[in-house]
Amino acid sequence: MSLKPADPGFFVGYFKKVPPAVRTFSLALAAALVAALGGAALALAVSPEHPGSGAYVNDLGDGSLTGILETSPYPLLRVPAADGRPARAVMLAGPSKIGVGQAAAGLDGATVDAGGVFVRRGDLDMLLVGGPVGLRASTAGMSLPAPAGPEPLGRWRITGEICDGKCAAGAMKPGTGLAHKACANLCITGGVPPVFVTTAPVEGAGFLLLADADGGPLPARHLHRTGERIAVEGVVERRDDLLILKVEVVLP
Amino acid sequence: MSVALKPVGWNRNKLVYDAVLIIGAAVYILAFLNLAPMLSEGAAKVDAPIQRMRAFGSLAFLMLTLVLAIGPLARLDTRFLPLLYNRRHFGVITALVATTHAVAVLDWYYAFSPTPQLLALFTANTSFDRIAGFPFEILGVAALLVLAVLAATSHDFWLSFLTPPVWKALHMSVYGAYGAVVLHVALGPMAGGRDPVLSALVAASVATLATLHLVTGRRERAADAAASPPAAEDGWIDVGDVSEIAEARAIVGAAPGGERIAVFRTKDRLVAISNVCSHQNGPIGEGKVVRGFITCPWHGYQYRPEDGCSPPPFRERIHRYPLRLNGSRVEVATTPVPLGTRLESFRIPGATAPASPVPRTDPPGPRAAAPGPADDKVAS
Amino acid sequence: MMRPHRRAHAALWTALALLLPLAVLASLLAEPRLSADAPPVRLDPPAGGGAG
Repeated sequence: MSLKPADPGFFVGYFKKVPPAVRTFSLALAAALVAALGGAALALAVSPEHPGSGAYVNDLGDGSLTGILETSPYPLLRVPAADGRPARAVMLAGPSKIGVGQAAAGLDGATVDAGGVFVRRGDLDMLLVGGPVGLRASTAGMSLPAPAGPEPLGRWRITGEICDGKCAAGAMKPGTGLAHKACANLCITGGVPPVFVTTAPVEGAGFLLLADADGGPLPARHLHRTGERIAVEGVVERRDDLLILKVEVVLP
Repeated sequence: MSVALKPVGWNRNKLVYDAVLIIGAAVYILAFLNLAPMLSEGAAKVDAPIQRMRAFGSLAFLMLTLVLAIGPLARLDTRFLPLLYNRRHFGVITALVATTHAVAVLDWYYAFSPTPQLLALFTANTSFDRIAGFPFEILGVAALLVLAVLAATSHDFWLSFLTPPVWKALHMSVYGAYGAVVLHVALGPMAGGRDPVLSALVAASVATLATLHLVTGRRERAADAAASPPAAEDGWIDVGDVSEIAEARAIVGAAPGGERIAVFRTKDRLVAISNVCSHQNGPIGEGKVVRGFITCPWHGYQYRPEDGCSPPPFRERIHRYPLRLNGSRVEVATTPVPLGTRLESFRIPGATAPASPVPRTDPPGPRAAAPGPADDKVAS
Repeated sequence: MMRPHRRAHAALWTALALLLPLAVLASLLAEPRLSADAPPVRLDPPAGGGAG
């Protein structure tokens, strides 16, 4: 091994005197490092997909919605048509990564008042029950018309992503994808209604509430497929403005 | 093991090194969190905690890439050696940045749930048998644990406590951590092709590091293979011509077993000494005689030419080898004398100055700036 | 003393250089290749009155 001809100045970090060649090179390296880090930060920060426009919306203020509660597959509030607005089925969830199953227990089919804040992205929205009203048997003493029965829309094969309805609606931005999978699973196991965000509209809807083939809650085995683009087959039904997909098969 | 280890010795160069790192990291975080949202509507719409996860996570990955590039860069070009001297601070800061990333993830994706955060981290996603949807967080946890252990054992106390071979082996686990981080990123934020720049960064990082390390490894293997020719007598090798050795510098030969031996020239004397520093296996033969001590280029560990021992209070010792001249050829015995044995260095007959007109590399005046090894030990 | 370290180092990086690109590639290929605008397909005849 032969000697390196040019000796830029032997230097070890504890020397007090830094040879000029070492100093120049190190300073240039430091400047390049800081500049490269700044540039990389900008490039990486703007690179990910746009997270969409979901947001919290306080439509109700301190007030509430009154409707008939259904608990299957997940708590839904069937709000009758009023003031020119057609009847709707509102998905309900709690203020954190939990559903409202507990509060809804015993109220299935009852007239209830629900207060809270909406989280909404496009036509996907969810009422996060809370505030002074929360979810309770209605105190208004109204007698509401029975909600329309489910309208069958046939068997479909649909492409999309299983998400928790809350994060997908904008509680987290982005609230979809595999990076968010564990969070979505936590929400769904906590009782937050899961939704299937579709790649193309089904009967005009960009998402469907998910249920098991028997109409109950989504089975835990489907949590292995959250967050990725998949195709599922199942029966679709409509309750007011909400489509429900009863999953029979998740294609591999 | 050395006595009287002081906590950490700071010096101006270390402060500058750390300052540059911290400024670089701060510039990165500020650009990511504050500047980018002004330039891009998409970045502005992302939740602040998710933006923080991305900022600290990507910075940790970049820093890990850089810190792993320092070793081979310094082998390929000695101008990168100053980066090596304080590399462990780079590693510790990387571990801190990675921890910040992990805390941001726990406080958002794993928060707001009745399941405790740490439990949720391991139970929310159990798709271990799938590639798409694999709980990639676990890979990040594994890497973070390795970085934490390495950061905690980065001080020279642990180096001497564990002994250099064990410490070196332990710290090689950083390569496993790097592999885990690459998979962590590939299976998580890169999935679905949602982040093209991140994908390009990961590809560039893997390609660069693999190339640097493999090229450096090839060079070292080639040097191992090119053993010095044997001398006429058995047990001796011909290391080179005495005129090749510049004052205060060395040439390096390789014994048949692959053990490298450095031959230093200091004043009119020659010294054959192991090329392997007892601190971190640094290449002593690429070092220099500074104020009478043979000094390793990596962290400045110093040895006395006459017995291969570090001066008190330090106790490091490396092997010395018998040496002789055959004409102008330097011949070295391949069997060392026992550690710590005093062996008179070889006086070059009739020589009072370097035999060849090598440019004098010492700066004029004594290297008074270089403190003795006592400073070195606490400074590393 | 230094050779085993160098050998381990070389082996590790050879493995990483081979395995990491393969693993990243596998993670990309494992993702379902479904179109981002795949249309829904009705599996039963809608003319049948939607008896699904």
